Amino acid sequence: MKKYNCPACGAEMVFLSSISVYGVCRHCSSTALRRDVDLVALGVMATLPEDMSPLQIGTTALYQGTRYSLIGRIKMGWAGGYWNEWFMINDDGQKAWLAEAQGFYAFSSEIDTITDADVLARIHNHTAKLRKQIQSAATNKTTSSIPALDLESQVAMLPTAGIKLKNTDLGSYLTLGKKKLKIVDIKHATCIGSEGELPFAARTGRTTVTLDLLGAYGEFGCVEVYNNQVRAYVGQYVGWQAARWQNLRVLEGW
Amino acid sequence: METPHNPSRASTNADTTAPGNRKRKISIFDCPSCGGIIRIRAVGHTVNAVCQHCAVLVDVANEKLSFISQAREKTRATDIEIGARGKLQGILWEVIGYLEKHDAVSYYIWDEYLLYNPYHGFRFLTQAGGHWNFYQVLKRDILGVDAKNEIQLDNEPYRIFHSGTGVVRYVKGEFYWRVKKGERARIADYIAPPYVLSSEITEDETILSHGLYLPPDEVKQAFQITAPLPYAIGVAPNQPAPFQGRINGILWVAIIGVVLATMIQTVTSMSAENADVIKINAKLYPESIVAAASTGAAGCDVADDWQINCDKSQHNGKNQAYLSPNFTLPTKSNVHIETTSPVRNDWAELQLSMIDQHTNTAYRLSHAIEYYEGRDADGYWSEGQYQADGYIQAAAAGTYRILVEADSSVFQKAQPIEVSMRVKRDVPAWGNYWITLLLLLVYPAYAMLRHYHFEHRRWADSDFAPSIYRLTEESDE
Repeated sequence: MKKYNCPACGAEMVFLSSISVYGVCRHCSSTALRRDVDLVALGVMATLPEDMSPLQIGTTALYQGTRYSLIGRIKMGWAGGYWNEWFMINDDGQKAWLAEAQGFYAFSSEIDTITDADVLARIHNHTAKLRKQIQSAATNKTTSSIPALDLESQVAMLPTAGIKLKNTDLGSYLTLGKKKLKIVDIKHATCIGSEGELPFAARTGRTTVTLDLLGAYGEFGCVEVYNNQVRAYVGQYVGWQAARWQNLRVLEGW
Repeated sequence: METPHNPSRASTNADTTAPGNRKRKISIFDCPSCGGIIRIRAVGHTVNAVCQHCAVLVDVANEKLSFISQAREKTRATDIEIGARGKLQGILWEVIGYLEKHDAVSYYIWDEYLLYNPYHGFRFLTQAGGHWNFYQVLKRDILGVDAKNEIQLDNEPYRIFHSGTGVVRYVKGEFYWRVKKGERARIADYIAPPYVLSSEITEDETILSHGLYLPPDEVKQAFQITAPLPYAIGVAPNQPAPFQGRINGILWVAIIGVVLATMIQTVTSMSAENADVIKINAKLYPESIVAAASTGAAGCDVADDWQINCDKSQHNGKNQAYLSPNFTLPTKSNVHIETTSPVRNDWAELQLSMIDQHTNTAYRLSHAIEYYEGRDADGYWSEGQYQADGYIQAAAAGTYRILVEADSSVFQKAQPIEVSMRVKRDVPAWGNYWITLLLLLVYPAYAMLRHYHFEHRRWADSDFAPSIYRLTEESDE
């Protein structure tokens, strides 16, 4: 744990994880990037849209036998709504993610490398397809179902590296972390806001191409493409009871 | 569910404490069509909502609201209303959405209620033909869905019951996805009662849901519904059968019972002595002859206390009743008596009493013998037999005599009948064994019959009925 002062309002800003490089001030919503000894102000985080999530910074859950604490959140938006990506650490400082979407909870850890040589090619193929879709949507705004997102900036953020493309579709399989998982969803997602501390600068408007993958026994996989960088996460959907939540948010009326 | 134990933290949720931050109330929208208030229950999840005032469908995915479709019909009443809360499977749920769907071909209509609990997520409560199912979306990639006739979930086989196309007819409330009237999805239902695995396949995605059959009363109680729910017609695809899951157990118990009974029977049969006790040949005379031959007194005097006084010489050996010599049963055992009487187109009814000479205890058997024969247009025929037999189940050790009293149609011809008798003791008896088997099999047979009948009714509505439950139209020809 390391303590800093918010570069904007001077209030104490605590970083629980050494991995975290980005924080949102609890008091003034200023965002700051952590350097060796101090914080650099980045801007002000817009208020996160309200939601009925039962989770909050400080909630803990059991995953792979150890207890993780939720220390940061990125609110993601896409054409079909919102979801939460919670950043969490355990007592050993290991980091993991908890995706909270449509009432489902999926825990995952980042895997170092994607060994499947096809994966990159396939992902880039999809990003190219999506870019076309977004471009056509941009030229014909009436058909757009995501009016709140800046389509132009999304397109600009898409990877443009000249990787040879292979035809692939929803429903094909990828091997991630030795697990054969099915691509069930491909979407364009944008960071709507963030809170707490995070291992990268989750600025508002940061747009990624996201693939969701699913296994035969509820394994969860996620591939994220951002500025030609591909990150992959593998984990598991966990039932409400199995997560053994603690310090949940109290929701009025429930 | 874990109880949140830090309410203070919740009330000061970080994003609302900063000065100048306006507290955003996105749980309430103004309808872009009528201006009425649309209240969202599953805040952060809901993408589409129907205005409860003007019934217009509104996209609430972001703050720039847009209405998607004009209402064609006013909000209509449903069995369970939006906002109703009820406990199912121990968890409190709130009804937040309702979809009416129909089959694209048959126009068969069913209801889908969207349930929400902010901690546990979403569930679906469906009603079709008065039968209810409680569904949860399943995050599994299961092979063969909508392609195979049988799929596996957690090593449990699920059998195809129905496949078709579902069309959205009517919506109200709110949804975490974009709903559209007229939207189609390929649907398939696989059953493993009381469970059902349903798939909904659209161009974009495959949604699998796992459902549990709920008795209508459970739904009625959970949501405290006072009005009658739709009448339950027939058997639901995944309705548990009366002996659901118990058939195998019942059969096993019966099989074990049969094996045990057979073993016991075999052992007792093999250890039975099966010994001859006495063989008797007797001639019994009608009363008229006995009376004529005797000197006034009756041939044999059978007193109430089974004291037998029978003096052969007194009436010329012509007895109406016959009393056997003494014989001994060395141990307590069963006794088998077989009687033969060569009657022809006659009958004889023999009352046998085996009487303990010391205690006067009598074991009685009644043997009816009749034999008829003749010729008619079809040739020779015969009916009945010369023989009869019976068991005395457990006769105590002791000295016995057998008293035989007869009545016969032969006597009316003033003729005697001949009776021969063979008495055996400790005979392997099968009667109890067969009765035991029958009793052991009655319940399984009943269970199987009920089960079969129920399954037959279940599969009557399916195009995929297993052949044993299919109506055999060929046999009707």
